[in-house]
This record gives sequence, C-alpha cells and structure tokens, in this order.
Amino acid sequence: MKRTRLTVTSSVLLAVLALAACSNSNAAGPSKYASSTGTSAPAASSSSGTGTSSSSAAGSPSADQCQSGNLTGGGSTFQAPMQQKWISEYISRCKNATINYSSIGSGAGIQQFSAGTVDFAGSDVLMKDDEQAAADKRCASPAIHLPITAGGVGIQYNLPGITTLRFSPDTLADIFQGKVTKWNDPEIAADNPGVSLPATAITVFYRSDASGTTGIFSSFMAAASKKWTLGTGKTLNWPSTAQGAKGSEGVSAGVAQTVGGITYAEQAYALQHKLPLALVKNAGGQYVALTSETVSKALQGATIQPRSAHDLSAKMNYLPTDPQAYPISSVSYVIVCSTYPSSVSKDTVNLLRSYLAYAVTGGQQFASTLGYAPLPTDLAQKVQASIDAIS
Amino acid sequence: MRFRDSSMTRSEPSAVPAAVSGGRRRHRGAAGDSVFHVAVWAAACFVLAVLAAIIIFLAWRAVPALRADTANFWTTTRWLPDNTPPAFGVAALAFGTFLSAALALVIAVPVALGTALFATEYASPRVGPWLGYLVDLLAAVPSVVYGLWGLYWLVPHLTPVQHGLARTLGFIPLFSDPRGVTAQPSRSIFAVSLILAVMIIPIIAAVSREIFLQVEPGLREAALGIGATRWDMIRLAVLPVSRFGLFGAVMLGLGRALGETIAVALVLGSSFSIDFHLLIPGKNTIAANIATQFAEAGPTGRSALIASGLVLFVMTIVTALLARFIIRRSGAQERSAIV
Amino acid sequence: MTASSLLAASKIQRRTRSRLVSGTMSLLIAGAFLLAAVPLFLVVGYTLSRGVTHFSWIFFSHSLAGVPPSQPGGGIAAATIGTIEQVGIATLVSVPLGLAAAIYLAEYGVGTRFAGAVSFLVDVMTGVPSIVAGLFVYAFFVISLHRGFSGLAAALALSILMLPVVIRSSQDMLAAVPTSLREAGYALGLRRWRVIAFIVLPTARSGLVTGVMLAVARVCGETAPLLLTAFDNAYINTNPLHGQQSALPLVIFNQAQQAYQPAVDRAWAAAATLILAIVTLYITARLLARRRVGGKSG
Repeated sequence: MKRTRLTVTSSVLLAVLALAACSNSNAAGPSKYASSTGTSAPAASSSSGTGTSSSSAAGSPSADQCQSGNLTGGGSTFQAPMQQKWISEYISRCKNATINYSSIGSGAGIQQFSAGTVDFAGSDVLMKDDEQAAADKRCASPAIHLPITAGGVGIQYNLPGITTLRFSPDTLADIFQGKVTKWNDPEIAADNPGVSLPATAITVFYRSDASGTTGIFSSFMAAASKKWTLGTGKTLNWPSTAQGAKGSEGVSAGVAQTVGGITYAEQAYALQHKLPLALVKNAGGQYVALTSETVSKALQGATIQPRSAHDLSAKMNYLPTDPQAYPISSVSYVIVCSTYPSSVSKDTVNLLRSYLAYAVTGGQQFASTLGYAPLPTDLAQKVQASIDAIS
Repeated sequence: MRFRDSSMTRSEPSAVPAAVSGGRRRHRGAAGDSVFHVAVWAAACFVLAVLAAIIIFLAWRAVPALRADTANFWTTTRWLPDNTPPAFGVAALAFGTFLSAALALVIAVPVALGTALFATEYASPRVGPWLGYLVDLLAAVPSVVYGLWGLYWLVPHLTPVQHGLARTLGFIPLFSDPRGVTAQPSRSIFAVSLILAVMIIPIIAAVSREIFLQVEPGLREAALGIGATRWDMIRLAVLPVSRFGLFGAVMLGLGRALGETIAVALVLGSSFSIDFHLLIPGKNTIAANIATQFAEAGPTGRSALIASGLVLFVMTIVTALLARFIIRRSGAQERSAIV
Repeated sequence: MTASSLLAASKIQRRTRSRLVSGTMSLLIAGAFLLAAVPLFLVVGYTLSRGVTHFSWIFFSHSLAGVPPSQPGGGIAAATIGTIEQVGIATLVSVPLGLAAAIYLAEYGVGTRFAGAVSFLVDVMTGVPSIVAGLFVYAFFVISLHRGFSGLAAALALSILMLPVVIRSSQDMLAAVPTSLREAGYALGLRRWRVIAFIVLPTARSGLVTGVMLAVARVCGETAPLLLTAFDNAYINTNPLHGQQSALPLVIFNQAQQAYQPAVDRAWAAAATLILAIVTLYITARLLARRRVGGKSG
C-alpha cells in the first residue's frame, strides 16, 4: 500500500517535471528559475549602469534601458494592479528580467522588506517610527519612500434606481459611525435635494483586514469632519452595527448583495461590481466625482516632507479647495533603500532602478485605464531624481 | 515487498522452529522486534518534541503582548493591540469560535454518522464503500473555494431560509432579528457554521465509516440472531464498540472547525460583539481574526494574535479533557489505546 | 385476557414498535446521506460551472509571469508544479513519521503516560489554525535559519497540519482492529513486529489510506500556511529547496480578490483544476488500495 502510493506519487511528480521541461512555460521569455527552458544567463548589459536616460514616451521601456536579473517586491494591494501592469510591460521588452510583486498588504510588505526577503515594498501609508528604524537597519542606510502611483478611495453604494448621490464629509462621518441609519435621513436629503430617497436601512461595510485603504479613508475623515471620532489608522474601532468583510473584494461584494449597502474601496471594484460611486464634497464646497483627473488635481496640494535625503514622504491635502479636486485621494509609495547593502547583488539594484524609472515615466500612462491617476509631472521628476540616486 | 508476500501460514513455519530450536532465527526476530520498537518509539518522541516546540514557541511569542495589554485579556471584546496604549481581549473571538464550532458539530455529527451508517450497514457491500467515498469527496474542495462558494452562492441563497426562521421563530432569542437585516443576504454565524459543517462532514464520516467496518461481523450476526431489528443491531452491536473511534473522528472534525481560517475570513460579516443571535451578521472567530489582521499588524499586534491562537489551544484542551472524562464515565470495557 | 396472551400481545407491541423505530431510523439515516451528498454537488457543480469554461491549453502550460490581473492569458503551470512538490514533500515527511508514531501509540505505548501525553498533544494540535503553522515555519525556517521562502518551507508548514490528522486517524484505525486478530498471531508464535506489520496494518489498510487521503486532500487546498512560506512566484520554480514558489490555492486566493474579470475567471478555472486533481488522486488511491485486498471490502 505504501509502495503503490509512493509509486503513484513519484510517477506523477516525474510526469509534471517532464511537462515543465518540455513546455514553453513562461508567458514572457525564459526566467531565471525555469530549470530547462532556454538560456537564463543574464545579459551583461552594464552600459546603462546608471539608468538615467529618460524613458521613451511610449509604453514600453526602450531596449537600451533594459536590465537583467532578479527583483522581488511586495506590499500594498492598492497599487498591485499597477505593479503587475508595469511588470508585464517591462518584461515583454526586457526578456532577461525576472520581477515578482506579491500583494500581501502594506504592513506585511514593510515587514518583509525589513526582514530582507523582498527588495522593495509597496505601501499606502508612511512607515511608523519603529518600522522606519527596522527598515533603516536592514538597509544600513536610510530607507526612503518614493511615490509611485496615486488613486482615490471611492464611496460605493447600492440603491437601485439612484445613480447619482452626493455626500458631505459630515454626512459620511455620521453614516459610517452608525448615527444615520436610514437612507431617507434628513442629512442625506440635505446633500441631495430633489432626489427621492427610500426608507431602506443603511448597511455599512468596512475592511475587516487592516488596510492602507482604511488608513486613507480615515485620514480624510479625521481632517474633513469634526464629527469623526474613530481616529485614523489601518484598523478602527467600528460600531457593532457595521459589518467587516475581507478585502476590497469582500466589501464590494457585500454591498453588491445588500440593498442599502455602502462602503469605501478602490475605484476598480465599483466598476467590477457595477456599483455607482458617490460624489464627495471637498473643502471648496464642490461635490466631485472620482476620476483620474480629479485625483490628480487633489495631488497638486500634496506637500513633500522628506525624512532624509532623497526621501519623498508626502502629506496629502484632504481639504483641497480646487473645484475639481477629489478629496479622498492619496499617493502610494514604494519603499527602497537609498543605498543597498552588499548582500543585494548589483544586478538587482540596477534592475530596480531601471524598473522604477520605467514605472514613473512610461508606466504612468496606464493609470487611468486601471482606475488610478498618474503622478503630477513635477512630483514624477523628483521621484526620478531619487531613483537615480539609489545605489 | 513483505506486505504482499507474507501470509500467516508462511510465517508459521519460520516461527515454530525458532520457538523450538532457538538460535539464529530467534535472534533475528528479536533484533527485528527491538529495531521496530525503537523506531516507532523514536517517531513518537520526535512528534512530541516538534509539537511541544511549536506550543512553546507560540507561548514565548505571545508574552510581550500579554504584558503590554492594558485591558483584561479574557473579558475585553475590543481588539486594538496596536493602539497606544494597547487594549485587546479575546472574549468576543473565543465566543464566536466556540459558537461556530459547536453549531457546526451539532449539524455535522448526525449527518456524518448517518452517512457512515448508511454506507456500512444499509447499502450493499459492493456499493456501500463507494457511496462513502462519494461523501469523502467533500474533503477534496479547497477551503478557499468553500469560502468563495459561501460568499457568492450560499449566503444569497440562504436569505429566504434565514428570513423565514427569523419571522417564524423570532420569539426565541437565538433566531430573533432585532434590526431586520435577514431580509437581505446575511453573512451570519449560522451561514458560516453551515459551511464549516459541510467541511467537517467528510472527516467525521470517513473515519466513522472505517471504524464501523472494523466491527467484528460476529457481533452483528449475534444481534440479528436474537431477533434485533437493524437499528437495534446498530445500537447494540456497532455503536458501543465504536465509541472510541467515533470520539477520535469527532475530535478531528472539531479541530478542523476550530482552526478553519480562510473560509470563515471570507464569508463572515465580522464584528467584535457577543450575542446569541445566530441569523444576523456579526461576531468573529480567532482563526479568521488572525488571518485578516496579521499582514498589517505591528509587533504588539502580531504577538496579540499569537496569544489568541494559544487560547484556541486552551479551548481544544478543555474539550478533549471533557470528552475523555465523559467517555471514561460511560464505562470503558473496550481496549483503548487513546484515552 | 389470560397472562400468556397479555404477554404475547405486549411482545408483539414491542416488536412492532421496534420495527417502527428501526424503519424511522432507516429513513433518517438515508436522509442524512442525501443531506451530505447535496452540498457536494452544489459546491463542486458551482466551481466546475464557473471554472471549466476557462480551461485552455495556455492555461495549463503557461505561468502567470507578465500577465497582470486586468489581462486574460497566462495560467497555472507554476502553481501546479508548486502544489505537487509541496504536497508531495509534506506527504513524504508526515505519513511515515505519523504512521510510526501511531503504531507506537496504538500498539506499544498503550496505557503509558508518555503515550497518553503524546496522544493528548496530538489532539490539541488538530485544532491549530493553518495560518499559525505557517507562522511557526516562517519564524524558524525562513527567518532564523535564513533559508528564505521556498517550497520546502511550505511543505514543512503543511506537514504540521497533516501530522496530527494522520496520527489521530491511524491510531484510531489501528486500535479498532479486533484484539482477537492480534492474539491469533501471537498464538501462532509470531513476533510482535510481525503481528503489527503483517496482521494489524493490512487489516487497517483501508482506514489508513482514508486517513492519509483526508490529510492530503486538506493540505492541497490550504492557503494560509503558504502565504509566509512559499510567498508565491509568478514564474515557474521547479526547485523546492530554494526560492519562492507558487501554489494553486495561492493563485485561487489572489486572483479571486482582484477587481478585474480575467483574474476572477482564472481563479475559478484554477479552483476547478484543483478539485478535479484531488478527486482523481483520491479515486486512484482507492482503486490501488482495493486491488490488493482479498476478502474485506472498503
């Protein structure tokens, strides 16, 4: 019995290994890991060692910017679709590069970065003091934040027949804190004159998994409404009438299934579940919809507060007065070492520089199709300068 | 290989001369015996060491959070370990875990035992095992798929059931719906327990089935011979003898229900509250909380989550002790290697 | 009414009642079986209906390298290899170890305090949350021993989940073998290890296979322990000893949470693949186990 099981297991194993050996396995060229598919010797392209040449305006990196080697990143789920798109574009042109990004969450990404298991982290919020200290220790140099993409947090709701809804920050605070329980409440009606609101109960969905998206939403609420008492952070002490659900997918699916549901999540999920997004009142008194342009406008007000040379930590302005600025907007960062320790290979550092340079220039054009916003040009240039200084 | 070529008759001649003549044959047999004995004993030691190391490691990791906690770890329902100051407690988590596991067992054990009995006692000997294997296939479904199925299919389809229960039996606090939320898909502890029950049915059924198959046919025939009906025969000849094996089966199922992480995390509309309303969204379990919080938790947060994991072990220990006590009290005549 | 006719009447009453009870129980038990079978078809049917339509040759032969969630294409080649290697290693580690420990607990250590302690500890560990097993291996193997993410780390985490199940179920199966069989062996002069190896184990064979298959089927579909050990990899990595590896449950979990339909489609196709693979493995194991067996079925 044991032997037959052993035989079966080993023959299945052998069959699969044979299949792996024979098939053209990776969608984009040979990789460093595939055992017998093609050659995997990295090209000795050290000519563009500094990677300072400006990327072409077109989508993919041009050939002379390609680096080879192995790069691993992980972190924010908010920026993950952008990272995956950049990787896809980069390796379609640069066949000898192997890049992985795991969307494990901002906190986990920072943890792994400080443990040395990933080369860069994606994060929606700035590192706390203890996280910064651990990261600096890993790098043996300051760990820096580089804004790499931006997006808005949308307010999705489920009210059949009502395609346009407007909220002011105070109304949102009362809704999400459980003080307003029905859709036809006078507060909501005040924001939406002329709209006939049903008497349905409001069901609030929040992120049960601590997340940077909650961090962005709560930072906005704390800045924009005096009624907000839950504080800021990736986890909040939500009222027991609200339901927690896992991931942006969880909260969006919950709202999609529940008439009267409301939640906060990235724009792409509203599109996926065909839910309308509400207009939010900004500090200038305008109700603004979430689009790529309105997010970009909001980013204009961000101020850089560097923690070290080349660091580009930004403080978002959640009270923009520009009539076309969507207030619940934020950048998302990659966290890198300003100088990598010698345990990280030169190839990896060069590849990191080349990849990030592409991301912040040619890669920005994919933002609006995926539900994000491109970085403002001056910010992108500052990021480029910091990337060049990575060594 | 030995398993296949050996038969009792073939071993016989080799053993008899050994017993009679002694000498090299007895030596070889004795050496084989000691080697075997030492090998399995070493395996047991190794297992003990590994499992103990895991528990010790977890306890060590849990201590920092327990020291830093400003609230009572056992009675607080809030979970804010990364606040300054940290304030968290397992009350709501332990309650939700206990409730979901208990409900799951209440649903799964009768169904699983019935399935096992059907496969071994009622169905024909050729078809019966395959009917049993059919139910085993429930174990082939990955836990993440159970979570996704629960989220997208079960919860919406369960709405009329939950709403109906709330309307007809709402006077019982268990089924009441104070906020009227069961009219919509309700990601309640009831829905989660249903999914957990489906996940543990194959475990309990499969192990029970094998235990029932080991009951000596003589016992069954004896019962039938004195005129017992089929159910009487099961009650008198099969169940009492299988008691310990069934206990093991239920413990395995309970363990799975307590430790199920992803399916619960995906389906439960969680909240940190303690109440006995089964049909409304809310409550949380220890394992699901660890899964959802771990990625973003700070150092105190991670330590606190591990501490909650230890509470899970405590719950398992208490249940195991209780079950052993009950079984001992019910009269242990059967040879038992377990308790 | 005479005493004998009263007695006869009550006997008939009892017998009829007994038969009624027995009949009712038969119905209930058959009903229980149906109740168990219904969710099987629901879940498997739902998964297959959402997943099989997205099967394609590319899906099985390509990895996800270079395929963002918003784009169709790519597949589970990396995940399949990862799952097979991780589950394979976990089985090779936990089954011999678990079976040996179970033999000790059921045969040699009966009644000893040591065996009682091990058995109790095994019971406690059956309830370990799967993510905690991953956490343990992450802290010890990945970080402290500086081995980094690998398929082997994932396999070790899966072994921690498999071991209590294998031990507990094997112990039960071995203990359920009637003592009379053992005594018959001893009466014929067989050594203890021969009694165990040639009488007890073959008798319990079907049950042992069941226990192992339950454990294997469970860990094939576990996600949480892989998150911090295998860490996922978009590229194929056939070396389980070094480097991140993908796995089918990881791919299902990640892709299903995306906001783009192509990713969700891939998730369901991967789920359908995993279920079909486990079912095939299970049926194969059952068929192989049965061919050796002479008398007793199952």
